[in-house]
Amino acid sequence: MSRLAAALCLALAFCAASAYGQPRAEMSLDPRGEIGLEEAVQVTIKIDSPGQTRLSPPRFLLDNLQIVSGPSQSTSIQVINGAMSQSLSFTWLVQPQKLGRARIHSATVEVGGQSLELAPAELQVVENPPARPQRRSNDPFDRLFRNDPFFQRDPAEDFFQQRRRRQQQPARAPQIFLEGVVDQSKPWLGQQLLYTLYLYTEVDVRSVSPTKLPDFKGFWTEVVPLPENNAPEILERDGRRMGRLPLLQRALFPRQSGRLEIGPVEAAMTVLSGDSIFGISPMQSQVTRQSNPVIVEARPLPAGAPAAFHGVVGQVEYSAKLEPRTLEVGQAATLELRLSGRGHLQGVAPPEIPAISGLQVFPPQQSGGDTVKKTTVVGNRVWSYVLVPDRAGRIALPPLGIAYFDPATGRYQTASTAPLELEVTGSTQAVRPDGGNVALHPIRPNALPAEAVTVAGRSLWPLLLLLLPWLLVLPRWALRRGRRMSPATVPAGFPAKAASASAEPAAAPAAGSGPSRRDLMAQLERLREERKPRQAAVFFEETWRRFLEQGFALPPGTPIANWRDHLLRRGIAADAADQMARLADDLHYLRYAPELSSTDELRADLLDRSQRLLKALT
Amino acid sequence: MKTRFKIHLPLLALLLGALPALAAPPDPLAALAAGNREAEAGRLDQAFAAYLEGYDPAAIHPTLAYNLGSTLHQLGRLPEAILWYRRAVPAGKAAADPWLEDNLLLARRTLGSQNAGHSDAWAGLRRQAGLLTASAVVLSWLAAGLFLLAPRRRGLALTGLLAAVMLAALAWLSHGRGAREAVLLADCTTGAGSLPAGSELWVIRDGADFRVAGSRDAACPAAAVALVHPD
Repeated sequence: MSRLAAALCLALAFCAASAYGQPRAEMSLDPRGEIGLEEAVQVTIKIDSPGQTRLSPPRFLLDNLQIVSGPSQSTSIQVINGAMSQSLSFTWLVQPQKLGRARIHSATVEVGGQSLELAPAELQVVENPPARPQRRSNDPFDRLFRNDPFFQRDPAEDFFQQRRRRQQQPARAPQIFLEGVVDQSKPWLGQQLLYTLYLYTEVDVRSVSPTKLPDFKGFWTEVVPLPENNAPEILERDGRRMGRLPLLQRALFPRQSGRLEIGPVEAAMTVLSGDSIFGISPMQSQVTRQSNPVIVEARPLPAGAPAAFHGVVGQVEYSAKLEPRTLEVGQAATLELRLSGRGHLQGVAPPEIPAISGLQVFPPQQSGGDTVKKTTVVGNRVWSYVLVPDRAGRIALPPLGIAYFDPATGRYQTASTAPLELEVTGSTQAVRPDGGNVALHPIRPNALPAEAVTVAGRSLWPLLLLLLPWLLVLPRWALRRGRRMSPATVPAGFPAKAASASAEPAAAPAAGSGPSRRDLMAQLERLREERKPRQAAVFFEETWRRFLEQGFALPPGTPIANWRDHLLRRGIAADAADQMARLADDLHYLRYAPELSSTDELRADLLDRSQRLLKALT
Repeated sequence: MKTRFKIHLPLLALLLGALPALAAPPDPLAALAAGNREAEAGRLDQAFAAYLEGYDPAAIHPTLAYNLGSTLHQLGRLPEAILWYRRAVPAGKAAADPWLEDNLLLARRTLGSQNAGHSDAWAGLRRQAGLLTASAVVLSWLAAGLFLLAPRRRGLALTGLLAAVMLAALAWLSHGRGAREAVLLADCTTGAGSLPAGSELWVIRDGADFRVAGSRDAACPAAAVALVHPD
């Protein structure tokens, strides 16, 4: 009996050894039979081989199916009675593409150089698949959302309740995608908007590596850090219960108006799927996703910006602090102007303080920067001015204002500081520019050899000195004029009317006085009233003769025919002398011509020529 | 006879104009000596009065003006001291006396007074009034000579006379117009702020009061304003 038992054991051991000695491979599907279009099917190929056999991944063909993720693999090694065997499982998730028949076929596995063929498997894709319990391994959120308070219940209850709950839901292919969103699609120029890149996923994501980021062209950008406890939130998206996790946040400020595009983000992700319960490792796979581009329409700021507007958009506050408020002449006070609030303050120029009488204002020092509070950029600028009063008294600093555009109201606003006052007292000490202390000097005992400080006052002396030469000159000139006005100087034979008129200032040239063109012409003009040509000619000749005698030293009694030569000798231009000769000829003609009915034209011509000749002579 | 009367009329005017000069001018050196005696005796008020006897507004003796300022400085009448220190310095020039410079600086600092550097074109003209007047006189004489000696150039001579009259008029007008240097003898509170006593300003006569040059709102009563060089 004992021999029989021993032989039976040996036989069983032999059978077992022979069974483990041959590699085996089998393919299983879960679920099998009929599946829905949205369902995912887990395909597992399990390979059992003795010892440390080299394996290569299985190969197969799919009809009406596509791989959603995988393969993930798990290995188990067993040692029984000193003989080692290993079991290796490859798992994929596949999803049908259309209704109808789906098939996995031509599956082969290389085990230790031996090729094993696997039997094909078929599925029917139907619109209404039968309800089936969901496997825990199909819900990867267990690890991803392990910290979610929603799931923080009693572990045992969690385990079983979840299973029961999930068993109500049909199996579907897990979704994972990226989505970029902005909180404002039509911001104002310079207004902050928040760009967030979200990861939506139904599976556990181990890592995300961005491979392409947008350049945010047309924006000022500020990095908005993600919260430290960046837990995903669970939400319904397109009927699916998904986890949403922000991956990237940027505060953007449009620098130009119009259409601006934020390019897509591309990222490679390692996702986990499968069941880690009872020691089975989850499956890992690499997927690449790209987010959507985002379009922003930046609106230009409205017209009518005040003069004090320098591009600040947001909600800001403006304050001023002056320390100390009381000081002596020459001491320094610090005026601190602070501009802070929501908005982008880069590029804001230091405020200009208007000129204040008795106060020297030195250029400011700027400090401050931008910080991010939650998701809002908060700017802070501080300008410190040094003020030095150079006189005593109360010096008022007027309110200072800065204009900004408030996107909330769509209007320009002005933030102003409160008025401040500086109380300045006199200094008890004085220092020279060279640094020496100044002491009061006493009364001078002796006069310094300095000139008197003359003050130009209103004195009559300058006026008298100014007028004195003219007081001397003008009477003499007036006397000479008076002599010229004497009736005795009127030529003989001159018409009585002309003679009486010669008492006026414009009289004939007086003997002894200088030549005057105006006088001569005034004299000659009277010829227009003389109707007798001979008398006119005599008067004309005599008037010219007196003019030439006085102005050009013509010897008395010089015949009229010699006037030309005399003028030439006196240095008169030949043209003028020739004109005089022609004038003399015409006078001769007028004097000795027969009585004409009218000599008006000739006299008028003589007058005109006389005028031209006078211009040439004088 | 009438002609002779006309000729002598200018001479008569000259004599009349010279009459003020015949009055005895103040003697600054005598006043300085008298004031110094009073000051040595410690009678500063009397010293000030003695110094003041030698003050001639048309020709200020610098040492006398300094001593007037120094006396007032020791009496604690700092705004007036600044006024006299300023009168010891020719307009638009720096003080040549280091004692005066130091005392003026000390008085300014003690009061914390304001030294407004503003001026205007009329003030500049007033500084050059002497030069303008001298130019006008010379030009007038040249023009008269030209009028007399070159009858043919009488137009040019009359132009010269016109220019001389204009220069003289400009110098004359500058006395009554534009900003004047002044010292505040009392605090002056204006719309543009408070001006402490001792402040040196440029002021423009505005009715009964003075307006601070360069400021529309600052007007000080005449009682608080002392012109450095009064009319």
